[in-house]
Amino acid sequence: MINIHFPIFILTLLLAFATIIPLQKRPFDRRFQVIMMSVLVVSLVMAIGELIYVIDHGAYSYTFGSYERGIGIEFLVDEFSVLMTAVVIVIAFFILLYSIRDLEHEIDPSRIYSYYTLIFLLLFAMIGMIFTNDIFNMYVFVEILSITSVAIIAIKNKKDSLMASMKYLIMGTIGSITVLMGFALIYMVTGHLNMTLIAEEIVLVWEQYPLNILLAMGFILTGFGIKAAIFPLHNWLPDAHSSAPTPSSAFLSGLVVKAYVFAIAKMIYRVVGPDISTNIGLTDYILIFAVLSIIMGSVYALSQTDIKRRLAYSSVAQIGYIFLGLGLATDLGISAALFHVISHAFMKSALFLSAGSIIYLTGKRHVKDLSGIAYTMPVTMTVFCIGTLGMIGIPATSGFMSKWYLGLASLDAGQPELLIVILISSFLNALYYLPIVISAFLQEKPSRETIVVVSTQGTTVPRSMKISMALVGAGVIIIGLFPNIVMDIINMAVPTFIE
Amino acid sequence: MNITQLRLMVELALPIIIIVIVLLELLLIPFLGRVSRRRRVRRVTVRIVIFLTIILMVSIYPVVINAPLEWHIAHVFGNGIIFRIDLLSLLFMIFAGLIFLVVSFYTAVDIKNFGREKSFYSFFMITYVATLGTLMAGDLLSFFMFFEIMTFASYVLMVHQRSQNVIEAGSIYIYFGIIGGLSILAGILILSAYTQSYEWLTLGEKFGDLGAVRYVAAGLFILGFGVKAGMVPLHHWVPVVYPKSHLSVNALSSGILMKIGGYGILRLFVSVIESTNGQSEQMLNGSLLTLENIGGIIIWIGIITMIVGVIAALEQEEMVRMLAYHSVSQMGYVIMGIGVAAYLGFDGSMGFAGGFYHMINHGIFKALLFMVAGAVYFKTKDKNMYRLGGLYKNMPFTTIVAIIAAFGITGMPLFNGYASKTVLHHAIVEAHVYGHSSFFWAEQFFMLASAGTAASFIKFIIQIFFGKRAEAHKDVKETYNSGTVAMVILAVGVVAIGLFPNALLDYFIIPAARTLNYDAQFIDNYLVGMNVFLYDDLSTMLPVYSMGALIYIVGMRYHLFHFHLPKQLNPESGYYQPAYDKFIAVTKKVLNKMEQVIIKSDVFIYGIMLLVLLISLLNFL
Repeated sequence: MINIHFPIFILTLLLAFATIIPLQKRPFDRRFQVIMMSVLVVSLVMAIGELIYVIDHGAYSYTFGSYERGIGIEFLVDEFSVLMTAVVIVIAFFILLYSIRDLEHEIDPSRIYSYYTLIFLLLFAMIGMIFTNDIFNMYVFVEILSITSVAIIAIKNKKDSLMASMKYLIMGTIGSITVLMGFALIYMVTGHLNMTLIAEEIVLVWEQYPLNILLAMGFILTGFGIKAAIFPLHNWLPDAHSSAPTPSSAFLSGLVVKAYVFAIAKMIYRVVGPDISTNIGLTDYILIFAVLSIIMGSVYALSQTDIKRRLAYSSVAQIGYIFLGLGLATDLGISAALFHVISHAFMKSALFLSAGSIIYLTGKRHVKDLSGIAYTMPVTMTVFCIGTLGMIGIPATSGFMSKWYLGLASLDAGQPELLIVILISSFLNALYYLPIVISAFLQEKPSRETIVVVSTQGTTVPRSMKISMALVGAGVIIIGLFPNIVMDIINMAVPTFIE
Repeated sequence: MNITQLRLMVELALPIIIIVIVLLELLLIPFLGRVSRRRRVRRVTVRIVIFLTIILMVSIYPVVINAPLEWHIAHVFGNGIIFRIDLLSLLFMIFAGLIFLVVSFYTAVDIKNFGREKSFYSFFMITYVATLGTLMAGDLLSFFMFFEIMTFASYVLMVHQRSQNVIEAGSIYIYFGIIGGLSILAGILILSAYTQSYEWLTLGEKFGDLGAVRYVAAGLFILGFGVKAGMVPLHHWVPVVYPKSHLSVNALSSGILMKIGGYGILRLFVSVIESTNGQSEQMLNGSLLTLENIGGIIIWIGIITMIVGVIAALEQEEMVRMLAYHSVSQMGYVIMGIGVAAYLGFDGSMGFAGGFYHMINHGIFKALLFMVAGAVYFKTKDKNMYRLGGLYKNMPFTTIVAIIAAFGITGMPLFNGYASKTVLHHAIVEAHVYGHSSFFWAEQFFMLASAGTAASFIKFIIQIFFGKRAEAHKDVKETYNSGTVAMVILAVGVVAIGLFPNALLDYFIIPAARTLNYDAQFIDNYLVGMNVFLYDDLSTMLPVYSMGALIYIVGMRYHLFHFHLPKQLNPESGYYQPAYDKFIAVTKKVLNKMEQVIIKSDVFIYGIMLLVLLISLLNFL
């Protein structure tokens, strides 16, 4: 029965470790690295234990300090949030394993401990946001997450990353305030902060205050939309993701953005409810912005020449897919969206990590400079290739299964035009990803010798980086071949979104 | 372990065995070839593996002829995947194995001087297993997976030379492939969403009552497969990428990969016909009406493809490009046969047999023709037909083989092309007799295309092997190597099928047609014991050849073969890359302008939101 406390244990462990790190006096050595990784392993073990418990016993709500619901803070531990936690920890494990060597050249050595403090706080906030069933509590976690994610960009202390983090900070703050405003409006209408209670109340009162709820949800969606980088609100994202240190980019693009998306899913389906959302026209707006994101994100990515910016804009498009699934407001749509949350986390981490190791070894970021690079970095480019194929949607990668589920969902919802959007975007993905892979694997340049000479970091990528990349890439393929590992759990959780 | 046990084991897990064998070979390939002696071992292992899989496939023929074999593999792709081998797929699989085996003999000559054999043979084997997988797949998802793997792996083979212009040409192949793949995916998604079935077999069951959706789905499938099959107007990749890739890859692509497109369309129609058992009258009529409409369109597409292909082929100077256009044109014959198979519904067995048979035959003689072109090119280093000539003295063996292949493709009696073209001719006549009268003109075009093919190959043979020999080619000498083995095997195939045209029909095609629900009486009347060497059929070849000779003489006399398409219509003029660059440049320009607008409007939106925030706060106070 101790299993039911595991989410709290995970949070406390992460928070406690985050507070201990700055007390370290010793240099950043192997011992610390082992402890750090083992903290993640322990929390992963707990997350998996929790997952088994939840699969066996179903979702439950966890109230802090035995206060009754509505007074105390409450966590809702359901199948998907636990799965998401597990995925967050797994990917965080790989990214941290990667970061140990990569950070050496990205940030000042004196800041390494602060960096990991921030990372663990970020994980803490993200997992808290996933579990929480209380909107004010969610706001607190959102704030922690925003500040830490700004900080892990700014820590690079270069001009462009400082500019980007400033932009992100301002946008993020506007987003947070907007979200808070939305929460206030909801509190005004219902008088509750607990999501379950709000949902019960809102069913009774929504006909009296449809405009209030629409306004509140508008605020919340705009706020989270800024943070999740949905199309017209995406301006901060390319700068932030491309100028951040590679592990930060992978964190931001693979995980942080998804936490906000999951928050939106909670707000739409758990708090307001699918029927009311459709009734006040919320889902239609979401669909419009989703389609805009998908197309415009890809078109923007097409015009980028910096590899990391290209990946960042592609994130905008991929977030659009998730919103597309959410906007359909059907079982299939939501499960497709949640599947893509996880599948994209793997694919985009694989892409960012491999792009990062190209930069680590060669210092080249321009896509035209990458010709023939696979001859010197076969593992890296293979992982990049897997991520690329996933983005295009080639079968046996997780990206194909997302596209498959999304396509089925949009046809099931009677909106075949969305299928066309998905296909066009797939083709655009191919247009901007494939040339990189093709020139890396197939083009031979006389300058391929110089790539090695220019490098200051030795001639190969460190083994820890290679292993973490390869494992993330393997994750993409495993989920692609056996999507049921993820999909079964998602299907258990979907009823908690749509009653 | 005795033979029966072995066969049982094969029956139990053939697809897995094939995939595992090829994967093991893939693991082995990188370790061979550090020393040049081992490279030979690598080539031999590749051949042994392919040969082994052929034996495995042949060994299940006695089982498959009674009932199709099925294997279920749970959990993959969520719903599990199915492998299903019936006679149609088994013949294709064996044929694919043979083509890969023959080409693997030829690669030894072709690839040797280019290096990178490791990557070539790895992707060769991947293409092989993906091709077999496409044919074995019993459900749409695994079919699509193998199809995409095949596209990507064959792309790597296509651009094996890897210079800048080769990669540019290859991009056209891969992007056409991706567009085709996406449209197949859309078709699969639509069918799966509306019928809740992922299997080829059950796909057709609900096809009858889908309304307009079935046309959309079928159209998407045909678009996707049409890209692979080189159907006009989706054939642009063929003449662009063929001259830039190795000749053995061309042989492979024309020999089997393009056929997969034809197989896909055929499989689509056949599965609709196959699953009509026990359907209600209304649904049956719905299915048949759809097949008739789509089939009629497909027949005309096939006709257009063969005409366009053959006209373009006549205008070419380069051997490879000419053969590439002939591949397009010959696929037109196949597509027309498949169209008849659908158009006549249960009576379409003649079209089925023709399309099916011609795919096999075309694979054989077209692979052989590419090898001949290669044999000439390796010795003379010239691909231009007009600069060659008189090589029969230097290369007697190649000349004989080339003439055999040319007889095959033009449909000379006693060579294999004749048999399948006769069946196809019967099919189009039946479409005219039992169907719409407009197919009378289709038949005329069919004859015209055959005449064009004859003219083109008269030109091919005369320009290369007869006439005046260029000074530079005086000392050209033929060498005999493993490539020769490949050519001999194929030439024997051309002649053997031509002499015994009924063997394939009796052992594979007619049983396949029977299991597929085609009208048994119709098959008995027309297909069983069909004698292609009757006066009526033989006499059709006479006008074809005389017209072909006429076209050749007139064309040479008045220099009609140097006419070129306007630049905009010519796929070889390479407008794809500039178009892509321009597209990127325009988007960049537009986006840079938009960026400012977006930022400004964002600021505006934020401003308004903050204002609302302030006002509402004031309200609260």
